[in-house]
Amino acid sequence: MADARVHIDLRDLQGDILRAYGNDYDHTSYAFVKITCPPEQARAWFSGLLDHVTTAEPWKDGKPVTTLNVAVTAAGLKALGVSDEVVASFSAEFREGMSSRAERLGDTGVSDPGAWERGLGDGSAHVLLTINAQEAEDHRRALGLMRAAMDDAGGLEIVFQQDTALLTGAREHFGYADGFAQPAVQGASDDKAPGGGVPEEDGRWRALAPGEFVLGYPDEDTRDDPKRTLPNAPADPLGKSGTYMVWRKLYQDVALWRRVMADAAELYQAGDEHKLAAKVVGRWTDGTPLVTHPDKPDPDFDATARGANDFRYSSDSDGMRCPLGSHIRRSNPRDALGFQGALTFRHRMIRRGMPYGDPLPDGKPDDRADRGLVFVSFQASISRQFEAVQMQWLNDGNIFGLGHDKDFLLGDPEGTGKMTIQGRPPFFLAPMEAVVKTRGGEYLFVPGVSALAAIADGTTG
Amino acid sequence: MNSSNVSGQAYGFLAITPIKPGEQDALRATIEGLGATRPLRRVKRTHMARLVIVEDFNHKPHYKQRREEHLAIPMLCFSSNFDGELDSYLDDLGAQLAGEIPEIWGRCIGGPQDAKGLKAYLKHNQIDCGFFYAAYGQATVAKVKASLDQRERLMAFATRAQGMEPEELQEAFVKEFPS
Amino acid sequence: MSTAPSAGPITATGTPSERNIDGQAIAITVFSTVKWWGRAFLPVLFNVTKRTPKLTTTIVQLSFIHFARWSLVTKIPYNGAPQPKQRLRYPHMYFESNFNGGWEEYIDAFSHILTSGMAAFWGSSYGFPKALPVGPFKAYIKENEIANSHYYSAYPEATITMVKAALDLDDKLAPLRRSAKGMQPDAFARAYEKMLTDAQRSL
Repeated sequence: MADARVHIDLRDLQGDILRAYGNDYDHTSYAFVKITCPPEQARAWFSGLLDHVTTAEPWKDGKPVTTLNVAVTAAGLKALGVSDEVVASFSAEFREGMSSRAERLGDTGVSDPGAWERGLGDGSAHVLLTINAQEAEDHRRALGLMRAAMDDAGGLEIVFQQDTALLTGAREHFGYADGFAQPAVQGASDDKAPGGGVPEEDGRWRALAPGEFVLGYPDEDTRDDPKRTLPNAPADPLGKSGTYMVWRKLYQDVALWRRVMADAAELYQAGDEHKLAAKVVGRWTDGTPLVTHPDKPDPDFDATARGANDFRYSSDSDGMRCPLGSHIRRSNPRDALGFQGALTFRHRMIRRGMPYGDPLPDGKPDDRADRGLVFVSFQASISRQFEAVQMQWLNDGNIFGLGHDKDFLLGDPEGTGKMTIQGRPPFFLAPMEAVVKTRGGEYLFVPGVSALAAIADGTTG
Repeated sequence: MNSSNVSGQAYGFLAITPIKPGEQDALRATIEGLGATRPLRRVKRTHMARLVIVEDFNHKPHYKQRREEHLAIPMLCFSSNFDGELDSYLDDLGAQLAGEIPEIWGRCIGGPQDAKGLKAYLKHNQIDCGFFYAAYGQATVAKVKASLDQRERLMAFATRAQGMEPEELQEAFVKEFPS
Repeated sequence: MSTAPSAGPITATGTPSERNIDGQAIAITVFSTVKWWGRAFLPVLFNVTKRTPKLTTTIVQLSFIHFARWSLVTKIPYNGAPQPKQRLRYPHMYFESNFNGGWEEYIDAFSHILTSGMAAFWGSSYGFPKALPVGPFKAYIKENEIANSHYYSAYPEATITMVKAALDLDDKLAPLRRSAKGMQPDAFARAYEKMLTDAQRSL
């Protein structure tokens, strides 16, 4: 159901932004390509990709077997011959890149960019190709075609590639259902407004203006402004139908997480470690929100059902059901900060994560394998949306009245600080070592379809 | 005393003093260097304070101001949010910043070269508040600092004390938080 | 549909000059030139605000500001030669705020939440563009802000919410500190648990 007042040009928008592929595709590969050849040569290759790019247009003949999407870093724009003047019209944080923003993001200590995987955060990643496939065989074929095209062109090198695959039941490695709570976007997913939009005073929800996630459209600041001063965007034609993308490889130490929860639970409610872990996350493993079901999961909970996320925190302002510092309450506080959501509605983002690595079976000792989550988010402003959430909601607790406590689940390389589980009496989790570590990441720009063509043609102004 | 400068027991002070011609760069260098020594920490009643050099009023063509007005001479703003009443604070400020005074207000027209003249000079150049907001105007610096420290200690204690038997708990508490 | 150029945007996480920061505390200092009617209007507004605590409820709830001040400068004190005597044609408003790090992330929210308050305090200043939309308002603050040369906070790592929590906790902990020693261990354990339960919002 789309809002008739807002028309989003889906043919010009790349796919997987407003609509998730995650549930349609089991396999996803992220390939970061470095351009070592002259811009004209690189543009010839880039041009060849365009016919294969998947747009946001509704699929008429069922879903494609594979999809391709393209994003570029600031260094990539230059390598493709986009002028310095045009690159300067992009946001400062995008131009600086994720590794330059490490300190504010909490990527320090073991998560420091100096320790990131080769090819990430060192300026060599230029173009990101994201390939989705239904079957393993299609996946292999698509990757083969991608490499063949690069070999034909020459002067291109994959500096980093991450293959990912859905885990059984759409869980992440700690065992939680993930990725189903997304912002509702006016003109695209208005029906997801209950629980996904902005909580209004009368109990209703409204979908967010599309410009929060896609450039070239009115955002929450300008939606009611008759003059329609549009949000800051790169100079045309790149500004139209584009969006900023955050890509992060987050390692999850599953064995450590299980051990910390088991040890801490010895002092918590007769050793109920599942409940303790749910308190940290804010949901039970199946996705049931704690704020509606504080004592046990709802056996009928269906994360994909309409209204599955239709809940608020105002009835739980003391955090007795869902702790004030729980992960989901921090990352999307809904109405928890009062003022009818005015402190939260400009800090939403679309998340498209995929787990990587094999799961560590329950009860198995630590196998030291690389596993975790590829975190992807789309937003109109990396600083106002992704970075603000990371800095103010996850890496600091002040806005929630929790001092400098950090998100206990994501933690911090320097340690989390304690976590208060509200109750009678409250329970305190002692600071722990970080269970999630940043292994690398990039800030990217996802051009619209016509903008991709302009880059390929060298006509970006 | 103008009550507009007071909120609870907190006082909001502002003095604007003209900078001697030719001294602006040296003055700026001096106060920019204060970050290293933080001399105001010696004036223990100070919550928050700032030193700002104002070169001129701000104008932009689109402000549609009919006639521009410019400051005749660059000014130094000293602003402090502190505990209690003004006179004894300025005495304390003078005493604690004796070494810095010639380098700061000594570079202002009519300004003092030592602690003695500071109070009169700052009071002469005081600009009263119109409205002063203090979030916790009843709490002194000492009280704020002690409470912050106590909160940190209680959080650590509460975490560590989980699972203690009553006797052990009481003993540990009394030791950590004596009456 | 064309997109606006991103000329010098103030990013939400834009870092203010180092000298405007002490730990978590950030200083903002703004001088604005006031229109003729502000000379009479602002003192009335200041007075009403002072006498009506309800008007500052939102600022209290937002919990971002330690201290803030508005002063009307109508004359510049004279200190003798070589200071030029200056009669001000317009009043000028001095504003200072001592606020938490992180405020910039919420400057949008301030425009939405304090729309009428900002209009009242700055509406008589030249160039004030209204609090909404946010873009021009941010630009106005940025172009009027004066960089500090030195900024000091006595407790730089504490946010305003932390200070209030610490003060609240002190109220709740003080009675137990006084009576703990003489209590029976079981009674103490119950009183301790009750104190934690009552004070948990500050922990």
